[in-house]
Amino acid sequence: MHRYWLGLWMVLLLLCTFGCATTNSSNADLNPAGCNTSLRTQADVTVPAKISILPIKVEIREYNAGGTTEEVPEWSKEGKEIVKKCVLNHCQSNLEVEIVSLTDLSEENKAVLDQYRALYETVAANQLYIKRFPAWNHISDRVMTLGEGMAPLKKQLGTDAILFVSGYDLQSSTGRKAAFALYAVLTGGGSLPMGHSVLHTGVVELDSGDIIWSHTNISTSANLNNDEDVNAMVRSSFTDFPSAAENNRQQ
Amino acid sequence: MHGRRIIFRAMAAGLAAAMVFGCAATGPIRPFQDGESVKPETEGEIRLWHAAQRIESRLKKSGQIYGDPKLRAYLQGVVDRLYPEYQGKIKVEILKAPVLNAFALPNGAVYVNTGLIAAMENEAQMATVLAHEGIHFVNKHSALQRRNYHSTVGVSWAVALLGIPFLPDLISASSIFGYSQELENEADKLGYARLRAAGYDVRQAPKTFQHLAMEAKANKVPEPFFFSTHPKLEKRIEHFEALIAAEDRAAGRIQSETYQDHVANLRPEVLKGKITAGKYNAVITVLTHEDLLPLYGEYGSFYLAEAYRLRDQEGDLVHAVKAYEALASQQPDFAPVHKSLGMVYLKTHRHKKAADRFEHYLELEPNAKDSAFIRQYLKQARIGARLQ
Repeated sequence: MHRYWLGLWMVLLLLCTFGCATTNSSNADLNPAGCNTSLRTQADVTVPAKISILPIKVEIREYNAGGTTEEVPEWSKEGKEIVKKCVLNHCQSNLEVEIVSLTDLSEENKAVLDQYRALYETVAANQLYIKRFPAWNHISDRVMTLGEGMAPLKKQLGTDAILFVSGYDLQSSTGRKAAFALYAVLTGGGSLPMGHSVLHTGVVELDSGDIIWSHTNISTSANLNNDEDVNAMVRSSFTDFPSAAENNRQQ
Repeated sequence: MHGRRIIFRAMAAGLAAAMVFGCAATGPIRPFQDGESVKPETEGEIRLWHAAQRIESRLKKSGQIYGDPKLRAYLQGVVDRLYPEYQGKIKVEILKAPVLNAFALPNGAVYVNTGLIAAMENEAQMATVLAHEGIHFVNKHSALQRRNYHSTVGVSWAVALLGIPFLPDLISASSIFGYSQELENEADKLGYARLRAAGYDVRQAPKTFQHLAMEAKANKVPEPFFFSTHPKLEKRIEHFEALIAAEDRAAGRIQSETYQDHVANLRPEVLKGKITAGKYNAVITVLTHEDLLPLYGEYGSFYLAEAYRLRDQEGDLVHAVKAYEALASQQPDFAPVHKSLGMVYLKTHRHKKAADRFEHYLELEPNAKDSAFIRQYLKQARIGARLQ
């Protein structure tokens, strides 16, 4: 009994010592095993040499002790810049593909692309189930498509495909971490859900709406407003990107 | 040993509370002083404003905004009259929803459902709701509620450590709801003062809650949505009546006709929405009230008959037929009434009458979307008439 309370005391003191602010835990050596799901529906897929990149969406929320979440606008803004920088750098340095940033989209086109982003995210999230559970194996090689609604944008964007990048990050507050520790002590090892981050990346052909390639990266340790973490996530996300070079090798 | 354990527990609980509790911002949350001071001040407020902007963006994309710029401008005028020093900071939006509800977001956006607008008789009653919602924004009730929630979580964890397993939940619930009630009382009290200062007839304020209570009773819910966490409506009406009794000046601006001019088109849409949602009792309660039926104009008696027909309890179809027939004689070219009468007659096996009504409907609306269905019913009615 004495040990139990001593342990609890230690945990509490440690948590107090580390302060109240939500802290970023950096983990540059992300282990992608078991946390990544990639969708590459066509073996002979050809990724166009020039791709538009949709404005990146990153939402970072704080996970509070009581289980509620709140978006922290400053973190989201910071995360958006970091993810954008890392994706563009990685594509320019490691992939034989030219990425074109979309800067002057009309409100109407923005609204259309927002809807397609939501659709893409839904497909990407569902793809996790399809790829990871044997029950869905029979459809795992099917071509996933968002439909042909983006075709009219092809001429306007001047590219054949579009790259979607969306990130969601739930960062545990110190209160949540304290609650986690307390809950573990009180219940003899029970655990509360903690923060995690998700990065969806995917290339969609504008004419057909087919998803040429898509990757979902989930991490329980990376933060999307941390340079090192995002670099590692982006690297592991694009590992199986079917670049032009790879296509040439296959041919 | 036992004493030492209690000390250990108490200290651990204190630490836990300090840690979790202490993480919430502790500075004072002060009401805005005027329009110039309207901006988020603390980190918590920044987050709340950001969340509010997200909610607004989603609502706008959802197609749920009621697109009547004239009505919106009129309600905005009411808010500006109530809060002259906050012009341009409290913005009114209208949501297409028959449920009686209104809410204020932390960034000053006040959303009012079409159902609530339709339920009010005049501008003074609507102003009562808007004055109340304005106080939630001006006095930063969202920020206070947020802080309260975070604080409660801390205390709950500390109590759990002391070994009282169910108390944390009770504390959370009572504190959150209790505090909310406190804020609601404040919004009522200060909203009343705004109403008075703007020159409205404060005697209309309790009537606002009477309409809500009537609707709640009809829907067989304890309280309408808008007041689900608010003080009990009866107490609230009593409270307002006590305030009015103490007034030396009660009469003031009511604006029944101006209000009616602005909401006349919206009322039938709300009735239709309620009928679609199966809220027949609410429609019947409102439209059998002699003061309220005239507000709904020519559509009132039609939707009353529709509510009776669709509710179809004992005696309802008799009421429905009576109302439909009266309307059909007043407005013989109003096609929907003939269709509905045909349906009632078909259901009650008066096939000849049903066939006549369906024929009349198709003569008036030969290209109606449901004409194929009505032709099928007509065929059925004719067969039934031949067999009778």
